[in-house]
Amino acid sequence: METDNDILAEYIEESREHLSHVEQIFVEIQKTGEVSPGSINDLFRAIHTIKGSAGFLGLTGIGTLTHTMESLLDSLRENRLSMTEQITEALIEGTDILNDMFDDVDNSNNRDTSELIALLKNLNSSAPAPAAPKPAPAAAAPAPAAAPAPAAAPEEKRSVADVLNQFPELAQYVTPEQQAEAAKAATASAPAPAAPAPAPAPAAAASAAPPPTAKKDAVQATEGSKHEEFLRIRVDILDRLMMLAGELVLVRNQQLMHSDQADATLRSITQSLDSVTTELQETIMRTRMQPIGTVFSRFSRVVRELSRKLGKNIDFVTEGDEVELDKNILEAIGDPLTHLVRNACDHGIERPEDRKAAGKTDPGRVTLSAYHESGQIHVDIKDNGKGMNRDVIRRKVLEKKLKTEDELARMSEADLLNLIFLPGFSTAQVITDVSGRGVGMDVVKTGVEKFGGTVSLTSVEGEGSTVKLRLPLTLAIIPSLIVQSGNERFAIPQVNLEELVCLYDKDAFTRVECAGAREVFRLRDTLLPMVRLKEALAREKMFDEDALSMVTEQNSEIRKELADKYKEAEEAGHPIHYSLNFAVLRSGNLRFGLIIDHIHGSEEIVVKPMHRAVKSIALYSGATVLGDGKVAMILDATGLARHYNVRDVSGGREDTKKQKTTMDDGTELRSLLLFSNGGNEQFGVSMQDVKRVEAVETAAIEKIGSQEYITLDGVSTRVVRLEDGLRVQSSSQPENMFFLIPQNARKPYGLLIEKLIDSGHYEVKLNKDSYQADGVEGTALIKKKMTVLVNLEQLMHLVDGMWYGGQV
Amino acid sequence: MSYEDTDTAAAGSTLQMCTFRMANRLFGVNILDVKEVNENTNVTPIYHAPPDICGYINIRGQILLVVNLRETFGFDQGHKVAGGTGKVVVFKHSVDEPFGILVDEVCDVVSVDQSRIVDRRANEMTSDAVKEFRRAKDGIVMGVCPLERELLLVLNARHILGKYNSKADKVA
Repeated sequence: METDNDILAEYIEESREHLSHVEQIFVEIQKTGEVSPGSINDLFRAIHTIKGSAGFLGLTGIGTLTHTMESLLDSLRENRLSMTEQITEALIEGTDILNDMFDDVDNSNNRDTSELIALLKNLNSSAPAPAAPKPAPAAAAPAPAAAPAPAAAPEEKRSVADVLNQFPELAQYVTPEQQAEAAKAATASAPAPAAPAPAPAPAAAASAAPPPTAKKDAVQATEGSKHEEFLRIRVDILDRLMMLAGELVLVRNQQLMHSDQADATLRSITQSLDSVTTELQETIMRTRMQPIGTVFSRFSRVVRELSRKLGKNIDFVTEGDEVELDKNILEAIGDPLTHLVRNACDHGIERPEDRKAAGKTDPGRVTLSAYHESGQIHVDIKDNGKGMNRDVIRRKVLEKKLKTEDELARMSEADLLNLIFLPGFSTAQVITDVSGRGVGMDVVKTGVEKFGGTVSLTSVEGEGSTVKLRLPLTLAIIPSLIVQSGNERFAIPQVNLEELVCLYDKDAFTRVECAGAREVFRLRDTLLPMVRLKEALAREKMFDEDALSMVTEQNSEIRKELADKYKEAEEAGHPIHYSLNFAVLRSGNLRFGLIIDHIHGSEEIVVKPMHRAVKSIALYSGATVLGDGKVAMILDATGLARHYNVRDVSGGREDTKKQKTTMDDGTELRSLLLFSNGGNEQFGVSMQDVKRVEAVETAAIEKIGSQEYITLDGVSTRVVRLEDGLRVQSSSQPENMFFLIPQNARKPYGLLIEKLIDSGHYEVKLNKDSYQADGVEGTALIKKKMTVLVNLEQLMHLVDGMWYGGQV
Repeated sequence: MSYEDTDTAAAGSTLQMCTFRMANRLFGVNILDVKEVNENTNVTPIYHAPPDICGYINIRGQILLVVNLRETFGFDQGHKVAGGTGKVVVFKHSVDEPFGILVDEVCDVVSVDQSRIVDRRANEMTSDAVKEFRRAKDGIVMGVCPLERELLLVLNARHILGKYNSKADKVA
């Protein structure tokens, strides 16, 4: 096929946009069950436009199909037919086929669409033909559309006579078209009558081309005004605009610094420059944002197809279509979302008979919802299917030898569920056996984590599962930790960061040990391989065993010296203080400690890609400008681990030595954060409920009415005190306190606590009777002390139910 | 396309050269290629980068690569700049992409007659100074222009990052 490639490519792109618009309309129609004349017009116009160029480009397959769809839509538009389920289905199928055809345009002409075309024609033939017994009302419809009087509302019916009176010159158009329609209807319903063919055939051919154009103009004139206008802009121009806006911000900052605040005129000019610049930057940022609905809408088709294929009844609901995300992220989440939606339909939702047996409503439901929360976008994929069976997961994990029995026994429920994200868990046989999920869940996880998102999963057996994706608003800005090694500062993306460890005095040189050629640290029963950033930067070659043992040896020498000095100083009565900082980083399933000189705190950074001359360096994932204007490199945890030849040294060896904990007596190993709130009561919260802990000054807490707030990262955050909800001792209000920010909160709030005691895995035997109150899970003996386990979510509900907004 | 083709042909016209010193030698680049000259710029070193890459600088929010020509020409590394500050000549977009070079000292703007720039490739019988620079690869040195007191080495900024362009991921 000889076509100009540029034109073809443009046509395909445009047609896809039209088709996605068409799909959206069908989704709307299926959701509301209502068909507005406007939406039919939109459908007609979209299909017509696709048809228009298809013929011109020699895409006869697409041309024929769209033509048939168009005829049917035309009948609908002119009220000769009314929308039925069947018609909708047929048209949707047509749209799906068109989508496929555009995927492989070169072969689109070979695709067999005759069955659908016959169906469409058949549906259309049930419409009263315009030239049938009652010609007046039937013909009335095409006339106003063709008439160059766009002011007339499309629904408004006029008789042909009226129109013809007004526009006598139209008379010539009406007849051939009627003939054409009649001819089409006739051939569709009964291919037999060959006799009248010769005459109407040319008329049909003629009418196929010119009248629709006239109609299209008319439609556009009436509808055009309420349509938003779009403009295609090259991404690089937008990028440049964004960069210029960034420069403008810096110029503005300089101007602010140097302008004379005493001069009133100048000050007001400076202020308007300030506000305009800010607005400009925000607007340009928004150009990259697109509503997530564009991605969501395609899943209605996926679900429809799947439910048909699987013989299940599935309702598909989307929420928060209008939530906007960076274009790059939208493109990247398509695949993981498809995976998750397919999983939900395939393994989550049960067959109709099973649902009935379980006493559930029959159409199962898959919900996709998007919403903003604490500077991130959350996307939940929820189904009300059968949920996941823990025992099956346990069995499968053991079968696959991914974990040992001991390890499983010590896992919490949530940890157990998350095992399905393990690579290797997902092989074909496993999926169907395991109560559900598992198809490439590790692929989903790595896919989402690649652009700084996270995945978590909750599931209640018999009630359904929810997968939560947390995505950054934009790829360009990421929260990160700024650290220093030597004179240089580096940024570590927060996604790679697990925790920070500071060792003081004696610990600084005793706790890091040597294991073979490597340095390791015992972090809560696991061996953490250590990486020295300074050494990694100093050596350009990848570390081999020799280099590692050399570095390890040198550092153990240094440690010995430090130990000697420390001892000397201590004996002399002038103790020296040492400290050693390291960040625990995760890259894939590998964890390691990165030893750095200083920790500066966290900063939101704008990621700039590496220049191609230095792109091959694995250590960095980009560069950024810090608040003080200096450039800092962004460290890449994966590259760093590879460069330092980090291997998983824990290998489960340490774990297996641990004595087995029995689950039978209700003991569970839980990861807890222990704290106190003045007095000697000890409290604990689940680590997984805690997002982060900040040190705050009590002086910074502001009071409004009876509520207290503190500003963190520019966000006013509600302060909740333990004593507000529980009958416990009040805090003595020291100068410095800690602020605990929960993980799943729709509104910014946090728990003010006085002292952090410890964190780690503890064996918890929950006692629910000894201390009962809302907001409390129960009590347990931890570190030989009675500890009240606080349920953060309940506590927040308790303190301010309305305000907290009810997280599911 | 590049100015060496068009401009050297148009003999008699004058070129404005932005001159600077490196290792006691005088260099010049077409002033039309220069965006600005920055003194005391913080250069962030990029560890593991090729030796002729000094690091990154921030020019009003834009992160630019800084090249160390001393390394390219094989000069003695008088003061090795591993980070710290330095004087940087920043080139414009017109040179394919903006970037900077680290120099010892920024000198005057000099007008030279096009015809007085001797193409090192054209004349084998040039001075020792030129021979020395013959080692400089990739046509970075366009030619030599004798000034009143010394020789000015004319550089073509477009070729400085050239070797990275030829390698792999060239921007399409």
